[in-house]
Amino acid sequence: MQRRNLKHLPALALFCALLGLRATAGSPTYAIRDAQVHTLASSGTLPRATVVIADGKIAAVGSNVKIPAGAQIINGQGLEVYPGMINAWSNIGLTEIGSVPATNDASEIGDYNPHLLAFTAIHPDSEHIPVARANGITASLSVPAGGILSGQAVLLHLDGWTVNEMAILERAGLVMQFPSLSERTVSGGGLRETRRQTFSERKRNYERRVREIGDLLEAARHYSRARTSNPSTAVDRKLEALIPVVQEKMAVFIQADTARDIKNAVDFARKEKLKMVLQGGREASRVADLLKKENIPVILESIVALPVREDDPYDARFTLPRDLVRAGVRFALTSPSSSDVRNLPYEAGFAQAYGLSHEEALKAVTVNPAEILGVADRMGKIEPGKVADLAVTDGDLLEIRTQVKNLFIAGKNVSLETRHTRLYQKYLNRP
Amino acid sequence: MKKTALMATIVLASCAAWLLASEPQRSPASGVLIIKDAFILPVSRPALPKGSVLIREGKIAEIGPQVATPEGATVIDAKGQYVMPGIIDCHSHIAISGGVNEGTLAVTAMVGIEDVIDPEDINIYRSLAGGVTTANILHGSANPIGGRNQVIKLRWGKDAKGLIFEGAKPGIKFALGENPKRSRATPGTSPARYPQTRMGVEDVIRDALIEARTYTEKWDEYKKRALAADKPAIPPAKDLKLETLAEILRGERLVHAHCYRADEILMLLRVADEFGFKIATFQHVLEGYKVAKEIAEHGAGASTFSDWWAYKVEAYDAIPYNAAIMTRKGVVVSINSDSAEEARHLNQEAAKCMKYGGLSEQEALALVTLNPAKQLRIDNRVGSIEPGKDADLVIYNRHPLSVYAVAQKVFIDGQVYFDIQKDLEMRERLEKERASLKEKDKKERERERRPEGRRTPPTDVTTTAVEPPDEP
Amino acid sequence: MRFLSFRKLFLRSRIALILVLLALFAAVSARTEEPAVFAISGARIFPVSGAPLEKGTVILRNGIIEAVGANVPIPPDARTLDGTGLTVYPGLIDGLCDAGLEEPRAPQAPGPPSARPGPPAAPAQPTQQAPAPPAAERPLLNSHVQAADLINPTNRKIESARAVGITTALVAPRTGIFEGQSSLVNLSGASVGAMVVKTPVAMHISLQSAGGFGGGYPSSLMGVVAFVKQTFLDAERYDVAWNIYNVHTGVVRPDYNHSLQALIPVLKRELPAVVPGDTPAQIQRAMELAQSFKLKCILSGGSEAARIAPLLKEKGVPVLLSMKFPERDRDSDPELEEELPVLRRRVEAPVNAAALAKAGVQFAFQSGDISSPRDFMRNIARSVEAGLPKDIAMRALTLTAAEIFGVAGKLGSIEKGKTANLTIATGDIFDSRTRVKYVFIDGKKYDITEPEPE
Repeated sequence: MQRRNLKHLPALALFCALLGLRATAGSPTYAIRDAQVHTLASSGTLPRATVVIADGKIAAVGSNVKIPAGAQIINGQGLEVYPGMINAWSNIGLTEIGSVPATNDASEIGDYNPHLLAFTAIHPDSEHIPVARANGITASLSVPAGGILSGQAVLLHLDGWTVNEMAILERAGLVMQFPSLSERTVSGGGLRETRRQTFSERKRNYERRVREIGDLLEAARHYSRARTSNPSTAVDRKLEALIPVVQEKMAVFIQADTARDIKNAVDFARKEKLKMVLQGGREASRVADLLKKENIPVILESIVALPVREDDPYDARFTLPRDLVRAGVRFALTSPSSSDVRNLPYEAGFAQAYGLSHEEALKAVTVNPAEILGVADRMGKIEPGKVADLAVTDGDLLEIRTQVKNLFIAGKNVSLETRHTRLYQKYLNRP
Repeated sequence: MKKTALMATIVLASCAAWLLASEPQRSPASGVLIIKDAFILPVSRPALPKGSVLIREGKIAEIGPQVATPEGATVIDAKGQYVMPGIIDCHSHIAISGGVNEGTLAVTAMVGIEDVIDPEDINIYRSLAGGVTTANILHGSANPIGGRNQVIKLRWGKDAKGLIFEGAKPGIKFALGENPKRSRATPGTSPARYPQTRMGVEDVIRDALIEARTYTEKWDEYKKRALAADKPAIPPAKDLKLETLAEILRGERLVHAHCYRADEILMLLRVADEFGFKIATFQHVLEGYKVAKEIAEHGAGASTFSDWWAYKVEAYDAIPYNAAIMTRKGVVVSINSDSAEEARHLNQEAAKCMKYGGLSEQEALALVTLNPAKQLRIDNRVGSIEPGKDADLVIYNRHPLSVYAVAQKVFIDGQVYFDIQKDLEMRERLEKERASLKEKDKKERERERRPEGRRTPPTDVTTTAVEPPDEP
Repeated sequence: MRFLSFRKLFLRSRIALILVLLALFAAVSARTEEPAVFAISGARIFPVSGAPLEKGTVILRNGIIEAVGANVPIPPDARTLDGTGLTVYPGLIDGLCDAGLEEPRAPQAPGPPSARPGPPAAPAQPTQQAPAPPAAERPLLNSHVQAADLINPTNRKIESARAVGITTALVAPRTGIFEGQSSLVNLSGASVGAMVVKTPVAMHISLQSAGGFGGGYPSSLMGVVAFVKQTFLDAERYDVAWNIYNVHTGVVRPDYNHSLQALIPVLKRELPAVVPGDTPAQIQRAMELAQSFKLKCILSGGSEAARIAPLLKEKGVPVLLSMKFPERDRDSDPELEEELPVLRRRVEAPVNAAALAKAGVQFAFQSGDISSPRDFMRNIARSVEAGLPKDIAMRALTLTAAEIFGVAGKLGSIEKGKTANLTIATGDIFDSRTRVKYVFIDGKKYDITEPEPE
């Protein structure tokens, strides 16, 4: 297929645009009338406005918008409209039942698999997808795991008959588990043989790993030059996959959590000239100045989590977004576990409870992930020309009690039915 | 094991610091306290938009829109804040030392959480900061019949005995389905253990109960004979496992049964009916909504998760509407954490049951207060704000069912065990303590290095027995 | 083990025979040896039972202290040791160790894992290796095992303990949950028969657990506690059953069981139970366990006992205080910021003993699983620097230990009629520059030699 040979970003972008068009061609025109619209754009929150959706895009937003003839009208009185939420990290579509290995396709064997694509293994009929979107999440990154270079993430619309229709970015970035100097337990078989690595052992491993990654990137640079100067150079698919990385065209999601690991990762990325996005970032606030200075955005893992250290403040993880905002670091909040993606708004809700403003909290699950994933031109805000990913709710998007009334993904009014609603209806009616 | 990190009150590099490290400062138990002008959510009755709660000697004395402030009472101005009963977590594994499971045998009724409470587990404090005041500490789910549970109050700073919820009815953990049948055991890491199927799980439980019945009969017979006979008889062996199981049969011990699928729930109901006891709670009970009618008829409670699903096959039919359906069909339902993390926002987990299934505010709050209290048979003491009940209360800055709610103060028995302001002050103290300890450590190490200091003597010292020398 | 070939069995029994003969020979030679009469004169003497003597004399005869005082005449048959510039202490007592036993002692209490900086590549704890064939149905029940029967008098650890001035030690078996009975031995390295001062001294119980899985029952701490309780219940019933059988006719005879039999003196408070605990929770747990069977209880470990000193004082529970202090891993992450409780435990370790002393808790020191006796003495010295009064430290090393073990009439002080155990040093024993020069054990002199200082 033509798709397989795409390796340059402009072509990729064009292709994605085509995909977008294909997915939405022929979808009806909608007008959401008289709703409170949170544009998250320059026009801010409009207390009573209309959003027009046509051809999969937002055609118009405002209080004096002309509704096109033939548009299906949704009465938005008492309702609110938000940009669809974007979950910037998950394994959705790659796993179904955690404890059943047969349903897990996220983690491949081997340390260096830069050429593997999450795109390949997405299961469009996963029950997790409707469950996630029913709560207003319209797009999610889905990432491979395992090894050091795990493969490439895919940015998905949470709707579509096939993965081709779902993919927003087929190759959204390379996932790198950065070698850690911090302590991890090594299991030597049985439970009782678990032991700790000494620091020297860790350091040796760390240095070897970092050298390996560096060597691989150097090989990719060399390969890239060789391929350009001599197109008959034998194809190496791993190195081929790394070309956009070494050319700084493809983002690298570098996973690191402790302050030192993050520092090391940043140093490494600077030295190797990588387009780095930090992922994880548990202790990101301790190196916030560095992240700010190097302009490295962060995709945080779930902040609704226990403190790492016994002597951390009880709210250490809840307050991380606040600390990053204060330092001026860009970040996205995520709900990474596939079955939990629906809880993304509450990540933002907790971040607000512990210090973010409402706007900052909303942006952390809409505008920010769009920017960090490089799709801010298309997604994240309610503006004319943007892809029509919208959540229509009966209240504050981040509040638990709020119900999503309508959901638009690429202009399509998507069903809110899920495995859960089906079982609910079935058993509620059990005599 | 976890240690007191957060409640250290004195930062002296001395033993006094150690001794006091875990004693929170708080008002005396005999004090009179009034929380004024708050939005009160008593749970047992509709909310009071503006009212006060009077606390006397650790108990709630009065609640109402107009409560007179007694002379000398400590006044807490809670204007614009929300007061609800302390949260009760009906399924927790915090504060346990040395393993949550005795997973070696299929029936381990001889072991008990009460023996291994760890009062210094930092997760006690973290849960407390999330508004939890009472927790049902359960044995794990590795075996069809596990160990005895212990209901505790999160009186952070007290010793193990001080945590115990005095008078709470004793209970025991049962477990059905994938966990006790060891579905996920990695081959080779542990020996195969009967049972491996849901059939076997039932068989093990039935066997154990029959054994307990026989044991009781043997003792009854011995007691009768010992009274009647002229010569003493050797008593039967006292068996801790069977003693515990016999209490179930006598209705003196509550059964908290971990379960997922509808079929295994019905199985246990049949067994309980046959042996003539009641199941107190089905725990997790993710398919409870499929057999809510049967659970309600038996009179069992159901303690479930808000929205966890799909982590294993038996959780694939889990739905967030579970609590709502069961509530509508007459089951007393609670939402539990089973996780030190989740325990910190059970109020918000309860709110999910309004979203999924449309419970009312009062019903939602009951899921984490009054209902678990009923399930644990402690509703005469806790679970709602009513005169006479323990003053276990949480003050929130926002409505506790809001995602934005943060606990400000947590009371147990009328005493403040968590205070968000004090917590901030404590952080500073602990940083100072750290600095002083590091300084002390540095000095010690410098001394070690100095040649005149405590130099480690040469190691190859030998001793020899010496015979007396010849006299000169 | 069960399928030994005849050849192996033959070899084994031959070795055993040789060992027995050797032991007999050693015993005979020790007995026939004429005990020396010693006079240590002109030395600074710390009798512990009384005020120190700046210049005094101690006379030892036939392994017994014959006299001590400032103006004691030196008997004509005595060999004189010029004590000028030396300090004489009662022989030091290690309150619990594995001197004479071959395998490393498993840690007593399941202490805070972070407090125990695990040695790199530490293998799984050998918690279930029984020294002797254990009771058939309960491999963790070794209550019938007695340390005296396991001691090898030629074990090198005996010599290295002597080198720091330890003349006497409580040695306990160390496998299983009921580990067995301890023996108090003089570290003379003669025959076991000549070494034993008192046996049994106490029943030692371990509350070590594997964490819930792995191995057989019990694997969790709650399982271990249940196991201990059930075993005591069984022992109680065993006692009742035999009593009924012995008194009445027509009663079916109960089965004999050496492990349960061995627990009866413990239930009758004739033999104290040594239970482990470091943190307040562990200590309370152990004490409650002992209390539920009304046992006479001695606490072992106690590294955070100061935090619960009032309770120990109130209940009159003596402590065999571990001198194993937490340390940072040698190969630890230089940037690692220790968690506060870990830091606290490590830095405050030396303060523990002082606080216990202040609270009036009775304690002796144990080297426990410290591998080097030097570290044992060094950490006692650190405790002294941290505020433990020297006289209490010295008493803990001598008379208090003797009191706890019920041998205060024989050991622990320099008094007329007591066993001639002395530790003679070049100065204050708690000073790092001090060297032990001689020890006397049962009146026999041991020279401590060391290489020339650099």
